Parts: sequence; C-alpha cells; structure tokens
Amino acid sequence: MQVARRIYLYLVSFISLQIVIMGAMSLGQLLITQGLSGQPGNLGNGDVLRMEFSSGTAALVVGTLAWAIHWGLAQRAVHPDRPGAVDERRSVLRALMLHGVLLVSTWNIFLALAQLVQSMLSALVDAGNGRAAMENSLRTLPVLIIYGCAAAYYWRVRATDTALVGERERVATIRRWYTYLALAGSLAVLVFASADLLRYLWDIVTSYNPPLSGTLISADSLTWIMARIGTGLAIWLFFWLPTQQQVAGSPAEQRALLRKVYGYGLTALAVGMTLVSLGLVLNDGLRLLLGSDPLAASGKTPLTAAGEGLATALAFGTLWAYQRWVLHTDATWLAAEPPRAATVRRLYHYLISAISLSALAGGVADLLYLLITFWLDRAAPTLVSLTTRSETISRDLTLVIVGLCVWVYQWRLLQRQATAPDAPAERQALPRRVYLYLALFASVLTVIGSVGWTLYQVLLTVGTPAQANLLHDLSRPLSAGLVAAVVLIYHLLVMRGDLQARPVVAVAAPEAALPSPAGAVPVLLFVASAAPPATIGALVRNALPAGSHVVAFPAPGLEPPAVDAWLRSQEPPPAPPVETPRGPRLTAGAQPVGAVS
Amino acid sequence: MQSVSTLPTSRPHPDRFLWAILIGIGALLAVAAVTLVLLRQPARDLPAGTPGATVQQFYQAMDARDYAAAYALLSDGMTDKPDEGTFMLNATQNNNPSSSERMVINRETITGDQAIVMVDITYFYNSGPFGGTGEYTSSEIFMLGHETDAWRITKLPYRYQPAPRP
Repeated sequence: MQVARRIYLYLVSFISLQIVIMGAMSLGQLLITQGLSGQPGNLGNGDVLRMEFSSGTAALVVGTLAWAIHWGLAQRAVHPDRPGAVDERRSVLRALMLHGVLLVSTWNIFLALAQLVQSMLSALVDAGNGRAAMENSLRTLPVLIIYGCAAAYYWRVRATDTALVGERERVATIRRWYTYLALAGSLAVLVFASADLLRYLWDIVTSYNPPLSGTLISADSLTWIMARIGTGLAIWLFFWLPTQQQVAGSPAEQRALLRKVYGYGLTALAVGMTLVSLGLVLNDGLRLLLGSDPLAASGKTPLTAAGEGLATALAFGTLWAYQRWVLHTDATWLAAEPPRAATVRRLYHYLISAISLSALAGGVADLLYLLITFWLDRAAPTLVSLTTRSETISRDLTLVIVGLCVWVYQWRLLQRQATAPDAPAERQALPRRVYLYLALFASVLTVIGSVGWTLYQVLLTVGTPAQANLLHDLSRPLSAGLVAAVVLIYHLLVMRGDLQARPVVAVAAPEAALPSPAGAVPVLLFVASAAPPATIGALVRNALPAGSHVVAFPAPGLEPPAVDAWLRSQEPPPAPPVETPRGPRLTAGAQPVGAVS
Repeated sequence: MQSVSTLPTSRPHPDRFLWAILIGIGALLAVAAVTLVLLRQPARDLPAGTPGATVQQFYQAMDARDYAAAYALLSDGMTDKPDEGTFMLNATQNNNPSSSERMVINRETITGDQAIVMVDITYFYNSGPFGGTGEYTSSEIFMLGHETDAWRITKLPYRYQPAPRP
C-alpha cells in the first residue's frame, strides 16, 4: 500500500513539476521575445502570440496546482511528527524522484549554459553580431533560472533527507546513478568537442583556402565547439572533484559497482573511438600505397585527412589513458577486488577480445580469399589489377593489423591472469566462459556453413564436365572455413586447459553429522578472499584449538546480507504465550528442541 | 552479522594527470581563441579582371542583398536572361546568406573568351552537444564570357536561376 501511494505521489509530482517548468519557460520566452521586439504587452498581435500565452499560462496554473498538492502531501509524510517519516525519507521511490528531477535539470542547464557561452563568445568576437548574440543569450535565461531553481530546491531536499536519516545502500545507488550519468554525459561532450576542435584547427593549418566572401572562418562553428568544451569541462569537474574526494574517504564508494561500470564503460568508448580513428588513418594510407585515392570525394589532402584521424585519436586516447589511471588508482584502495567489480573488469576485457578477434578473423579470411583468387586469376586473359582491389585489400589489412595488435595484447593479459596460481577464480569466471563458448559457437557455425557449401558445390559437379569456376566459387567458403577451424581448435584447447585446471573442492555430504567435541557450537564464518577454499579452510583450522572441525565451501556470488537473511529464516518462530502449566517442570539436563552441541 | 571490512591501503594520489589534461584543454582553448580573433577578417578581394573576381563580386553583392549590383554582373548575351525584376524577386525569396557557409574556388578554367568557375560551398551545422560541428560541401558552376572590359556571367548556378515562365 505504501509503495503504491509513493509511486502515485512522486510520479505525479515529477510530471506536474515538468509541466510547471514548461509553462514557466514558455511565458519567459514570450516575455523576452516581446521585450526584444519593442512591442511589449501587445499580445493581440497575431494568433500565435495568443496561443503561446494561453498554453504557457494554462500549463503553469494547472501544473502548479497539481505539483503543490502532491508534493505537499509527500513532504507532509516526512514531517518529523508523522509516524513512518524516517522510512518515507529513506524510501527508494522518493530518491528516484529527487534524482530524476536533478538529472533532467542538470541536462537542460548544461545545454542552456553552452548556448549562453556561445552567444557571449560570438558577441565578443563579432561586434556587428552583438544584437543577435544578446538576443540568443537572453533566450537561455528562462531555462537557466527555472531549471536552476528546481535543481537548487531538490538538491536541498535531498541534502536534508541525507542529514536527517543517513543514506541506505539502495538510495546511495540511485545517487550514484545520477552522479555517474552526469559525469559520463559531460565527459563525452567534452571529449567529442575537443576532438572537433583539434580537427578544426588542423584543417585551418593544413588545407586553408581563402573564401570568396564572408570571413575567413566560421565563427559560429568555432564558438559552439569552444562553448561545449568550456561547459562540459565545468559540469564534469563540478561532479568529478567531489566524487573523488568522497571515494577517497568511503569504502562503500570504493566498492561501488556503478563506479566500475562507469570507468570501464568510458574506457571501452575511448578504446573504440581511438582504434577506429587510427584504423581509418591506416586504411587511407594503405589505399594510397596501393594506388587508389581514398580522398577523391572529400577533396582533402592526405596530410589533412591523416591529421584529422590522429586528432580524434589524440582526444580519445587521452580519455583512455586517464581512465586507465583512475581504474588503477581505484584498485589500490582495496585489499581485494570485490567479486562483482572483477566481473565488470572481465566483461570489459573479454568484450574487447571478442571484437578484436572478430575483426582479425574476418580480415584474415578475406585476405586469404583475395590471395586465392589472385592465384587463380593469374592465368586468366584479363588480370585483375591490384588497384581495383586496393580498397578491399587495405580494409582487410587494417582489420588484421589492428585486430591482431588488440587481440594479442588483451588475450596475453587475460591468459596471464587466468593461469596465475593464486587466481583460480579468473579461469572459471563467467565472462571467460561466455567468450570461449561464443568463439566456439561462431567458428563451428562458420565451419559447418563452409563445409556444407563446399560439399554442395562439389556434388553439383559430379558427373558433369569439370567447371573452370569451381575453385573460384569455393575460395570464399574455404578461406572462411579454414580461419574458423583455426579459431575453433585454439579455443577448444584453451577450454580444455580451463577444465583440467578446475579445482576439486572437498565438500562435506550435507547429511553427514559433523563430529564435534563436547560444548562445540557451529559457527558460520564468511570469508571473501581470492585464496582457494581449501587454503582458507586449512588456515582457519590451524588457528583453532585441537579437535575443531572446519569445512570450507566455495560460495561464488554470496554476500553477507544473503547469509544473514538465510540464518534469520532458520531461526525458530517465537513460541506463542501459554498459561503457566501446573504439571511437572523440566528436569535438569533436558534441552529445548533445536539446540546443537 | 558483521561483514568483512576493508580499509584503504594507500592515501589518495594527487591527480597530476587531471591537472595536465586541464592545462592541455586550456592551451587548446587559448589557441582556438587566438585563431578566432586573428582569422575573423573579411575575405581578400581577388585580382580584378579575372573570372574569379566577378564571381566573388556576385557573391558579395548577394550577401549584401544588393541585387541590382549582382544583376549588373550578368552578361547581356546570357541565354534566357531574366529581367531585373524577376531576378530580384527570385533572390529576395530564395537568397539566405549565412555566416555558416564558406565559398572557395575549386577550379577556374579559361578558354579564350570563355571561362568556367567551379565553387565549393561548405555548409557548417551544429548538431547538438554530442554531434558537434558537421559540414557538407556542394559545388556550383558559373560560366562567364569576356566582354569589353570585364568578365560577365553567362550562366548562373541552379539556385540563382529564376523558375522558367510557363
């Protein structure tokens, strides 16, 4: 019942608040437009103005009414005199609503701020454009003021809730969602804009051609890029610096899974963009070497095109390097990596491995096919020139070079971790098994397809004159099948090694009674360690008095709250109150049901 | 039930890497600002008496909405030359000079008294915070003929041609 009430109150509060904001912004924009047009108060000037005024006012009135009622009820429920006020302040749904408002407000403030900065820069640079720039600046003010007020108010509400009742883990998770989404968004804008700026400046330096009219460069473009960089950087620092300080002093923040997801997610983006940019530069270079012009359509010079790719790689490469440094620093906070954080790390590495392996295998298969067709065509009357296939060759070579470098680097790292004697969990980890089975799955299907197609083509020719094009037709399935077979065999060997290395853990039969000395009481000890269960069992046994018995079970994914909940479920229910019996009392030495010796 | 607790094993490292990145971004913005200031100059006039100069004068007249001056650059020998009123009406309706366009001469070919000038027009657009700044380029072709004292336009690009009368 509470949940349904909270869903209703907070959802309606959120929606009505957005309606209030839209209405207020609409009226604000209208006022500014009227003020700038020099005809204030002339609302009768056209149906459009009347419509805008009516819709803005209606939204503001209705939204304010609905928001005031529902938010008022929600705030009344958290009044200190109300029963359940503490639970209400701690509720996840309340946190969702607060942070939802903050997220929407942050995004809109960011966009408006970027436009304001751009307008101000335009006004500074071009005095003749001053009036237009001033108008654009004024139009951002309603957004900044209204969303700013909403954000400030709900930030204060959130701070009050935290100060009064603390922060539970689920509410902390919602807070982290908001923080890391804001961080990811602002950082992505910053890096994309930095790449844009580097490319723009490189174009000016290397391929500048004086224009026929207007000014030498487009101020709109450059000021927009600069505004995105400045605003993105400001918003990112606003969230990042306090987050880093918080992480430095809080084990809970250090262990937070979302921080790992943020870190590895951005790293994956940075890696992808960097490698794609470098790959495109390499591809263009190879095409030029092979005699075709990849830049004919764009009209750019090789120097300009190469520099643009390298500029993008520089911007995203910097992000990659910084994220790696942050992840490395995070790892030094904790004595042992939490299991779920380890899973995120493995997911990242195995995903990169899978993608690079696909690129490598695809490139090798296609190159093999091209080599076979070149060899078959060499005696043909019309030779296929290298130039006509240069686009394909350079693409395949790029895939092979980039794929090979990335896959070898990642796979060696993963194999080193998996075969380390003190880290059996790496070898049996789920992401590793998923990667291996995916590699096997894709390669088996390819082998099946290529063998099947080959057999089909061969059987078609049985009893008929030899087909000159048979080898030609078979070259693609054969090359794909060969590469897939190599991938299949290699990963089968890896999987066999993993299965052979699986530790055997002695687990006590669940029904067997543990021998125990007199007075012994079972104790459940929760240990999170990278050491194997047998080692942990031996260490604990050695630390205990003689005669103690220890059984260690591997329990991957188990967390203390789950154990606690299970133990509580095992407690006998409280006995119902009964009248004092007049019969004989319990004799000495008799034990209540459920006691353990 | 008390869970295993962990303690930080080292003090927070000073984020020198972040400082280096901030300094790099600051330097980049400074270069951009200097570029903006230094290159916010009007385009240089091409040498007079060339086909390119005539095309440049045409664009400058259209940018300034001085359609009479633009019309004066059209040759009398132009095929299907519109009258001045039609030309100005078409220009008024369709001409939208923008500071986000950049026109450069791609090629200028002179053969005797005839010339062809190909102009690349690059349109810049801001596509949001992530999409950033994009551009696309299209081409326009002017054909010119040399008359008594100057080059005059004998064929306009499509967008400047008024619609033919039925």
